[in-house]
Amino acid sequence: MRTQNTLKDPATGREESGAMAAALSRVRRNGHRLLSDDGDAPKWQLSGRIQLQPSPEDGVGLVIDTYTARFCRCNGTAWSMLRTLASGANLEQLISAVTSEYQAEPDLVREDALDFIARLKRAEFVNEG
Amino acid sequence: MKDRIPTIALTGLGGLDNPEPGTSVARALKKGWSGDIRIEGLTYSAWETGAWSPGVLDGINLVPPLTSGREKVLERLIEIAKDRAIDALIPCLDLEVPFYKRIAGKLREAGIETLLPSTESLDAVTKPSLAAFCHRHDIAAPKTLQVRDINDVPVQADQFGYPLLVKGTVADAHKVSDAKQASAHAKRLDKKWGNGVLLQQYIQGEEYCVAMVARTDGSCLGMVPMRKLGINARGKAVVGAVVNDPALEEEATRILALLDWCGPLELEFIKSASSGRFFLVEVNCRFPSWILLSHWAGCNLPVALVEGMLCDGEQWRGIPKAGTAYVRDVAEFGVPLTKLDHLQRLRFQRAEASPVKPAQKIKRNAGLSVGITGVSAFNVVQPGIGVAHSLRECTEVARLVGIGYGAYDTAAFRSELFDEIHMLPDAVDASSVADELRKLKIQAGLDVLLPSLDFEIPGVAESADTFKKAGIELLMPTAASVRRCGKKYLASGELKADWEGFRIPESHLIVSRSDLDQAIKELGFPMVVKGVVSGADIVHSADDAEASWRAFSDSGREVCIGQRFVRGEEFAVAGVCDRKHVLVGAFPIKKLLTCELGNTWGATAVEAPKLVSAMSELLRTVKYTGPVEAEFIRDIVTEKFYLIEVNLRFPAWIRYAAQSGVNLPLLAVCLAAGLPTPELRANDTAVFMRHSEEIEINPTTLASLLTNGHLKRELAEAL
Repeated sequence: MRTQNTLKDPATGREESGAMAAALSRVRRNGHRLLSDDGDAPKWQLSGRIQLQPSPEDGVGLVIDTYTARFCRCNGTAWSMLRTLASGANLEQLISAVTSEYQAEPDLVREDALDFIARLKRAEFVNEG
Repeated sequence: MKDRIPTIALTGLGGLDNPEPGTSVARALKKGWSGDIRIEGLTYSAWETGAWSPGVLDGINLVPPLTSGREKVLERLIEIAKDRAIDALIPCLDLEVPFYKRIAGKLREAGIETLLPSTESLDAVTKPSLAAFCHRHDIAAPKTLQVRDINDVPVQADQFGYPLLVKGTVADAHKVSDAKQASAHAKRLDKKWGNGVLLQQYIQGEEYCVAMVARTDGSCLGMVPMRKLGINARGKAVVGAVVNDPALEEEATRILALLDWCGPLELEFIKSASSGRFFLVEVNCRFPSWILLSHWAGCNLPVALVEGMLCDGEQWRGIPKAGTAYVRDVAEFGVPLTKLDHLQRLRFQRAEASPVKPAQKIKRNAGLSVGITGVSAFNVVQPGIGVAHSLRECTEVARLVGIGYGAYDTAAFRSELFDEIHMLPDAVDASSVADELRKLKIQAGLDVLLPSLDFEIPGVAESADTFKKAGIELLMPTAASVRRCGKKYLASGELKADWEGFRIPESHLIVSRSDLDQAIKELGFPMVVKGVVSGADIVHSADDAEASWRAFSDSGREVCIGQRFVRGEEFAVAGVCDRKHVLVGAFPIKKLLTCELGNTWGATAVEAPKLVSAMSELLRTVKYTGPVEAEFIRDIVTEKFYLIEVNLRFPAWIRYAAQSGVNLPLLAVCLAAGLPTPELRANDTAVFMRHSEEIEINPTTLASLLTNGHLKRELAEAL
């Protein structure tokens, strides 16, 4: 199955962070480089501007962009990856986080995770090391 | 200071639907001060409703207007300081700050501390001089020009290009798209505030504000940046949330240093959608009306200010919690007439120290599930809020379901009021509203529906049978009856003009320019030009009449009404007609306070049997069923009542009737459901007052409403 990670912007209902990214301000980036445990594979960490707020309603939660007070609801797999990214993670760690919670093919999760990371990067929600 | 309770005096307790900041400052102090604190309100009249808001102030003190002169005001302040042991004073209105700065030395001699900016700093941030200040210091700001001669506005506006903002020299702003609009707004603003107007480049982008407090050395004691999430038709931030954008904070801190400021301050910015740059659009030399948000965000700026004035070694307040959000709803309460009278005669009244006890949500297994629409105070206060408050504690009602049209419907966030919230799709027309409401029978299990918005009534009335089949009970007029109560019908002359207790004022339907000319010829000036659904202007000249008529035409309303202007006091009667068209309950009031949009924010119950009897006859004649409000003006000379409008739903002040023993919403629910009707017995009533009130909102609740369109209250409480 595809894991279909989504970030849903409540203001527009769109399942895409591009609209949000367009309105985001230029940000201060963290200068430090995050080193991966397994060599040169890229590692990502959530930007300091992002807060994760769990919601007891459905076990997932809200992504709050503290620069703009925009709130995004996300689904289970997105939430799982975001929690993992909070403390820094590489691709394998993201896949592992999702497959340990959901029955999903690692290859499909990999594809989704890369797409998800790309969207987070466009929105300046993650720093890459 | 630690050995006794500090007493703070503050102003800015009025403002109705555009609330002045004083109430919010007082609430922040009461909530955030460690230990007891006493707050004395300083008001210019007994009708500043925020002063009476329960639990906000300890005392209310009348002070003379600033125009009465420095000596007179100072004399009164010193008198108050002696009686109430005032330690510090916080002026909360822009125009007061320079005045209080001038008398700050004398106040200090009387033991009253203030923390206010220098005259030079204040001069730098007046609306006319801010552009020059920004230019001098390389602060990004929109191009701004003060036009002193209003006749020059069209030419200057054309040179600016459109859209642009026309701003008053003290307050108010309007976005305009041509010279004619610019000129019309300029005339009004100049008349209101003087010194011409400001024309300002319009910058497309999102609006941000930063509230700050500066120490005497100009350093920042605390800062709360906020993004306006929901801005109403008047340009006011009804919904907002704290942000922590370093770029915004850096710019605000730089401006604060350049201003060499001291005391409270609000900077207003627009973040350009094209460049992402923050443009400074306004500086206010006092706290904003949303300052209670600073308390919820863990950075209480009014407390910081008072500590700055009264305590040594005050600390930097820290970083506010981003994402903390508020919505501005309304609070309604009764004020005993004796207290109002006492304040007016003796210039002091002890305030109601205890906050209003929130309605008790009692879990009931049996009872009706009642759906109520119109639950927002975003632009105007909608009637559903008062209806819900009236029904909340009734044993006949098990569940209240709030039905809204947007996630910023303010009362949806009152966890004590609704068991469940459902949002209908935006921009639904009258007929599809009925479809959407029927769907709620399945989702929310509605037994009774009380539509509370004008535009819903025709569609629901026409679909009454299908509601019945769906198992939702209504108490509504028929479609024919709806037509006969409309403004168009009342203005058509088909009903008799004289109803014993009131008259229907002479009116003309205006479709064309020649209709307008005819109305002007017969009615003269002033004349009322009103829309057939909503909106009304009092016009004093043919030019004004044409502008008003064109405004109605441009907004797609082909017909408007010219009506004879009646000068006098305003009255209203709320009522309920049963299915036999008998007016079975009525509650007449005299309006004491109305906001700019004409809504009632203060009222007193009156006895008007002749008026009610005549209204009853009219409603029987048009075969009316359901909730109703009739609005009247009593001519100042003849003392005759004139019927101005019939609204086919409850008025927004309906909670007042319920609090006075005449629970008309409950009567309507019982009649709709075929239950025994409640006893209606008016008790000794207090004066009705309403004030704006900020509520803290959970971002998750907001997101639930935005994405799912519904919210079950059990969930909200769990959050």
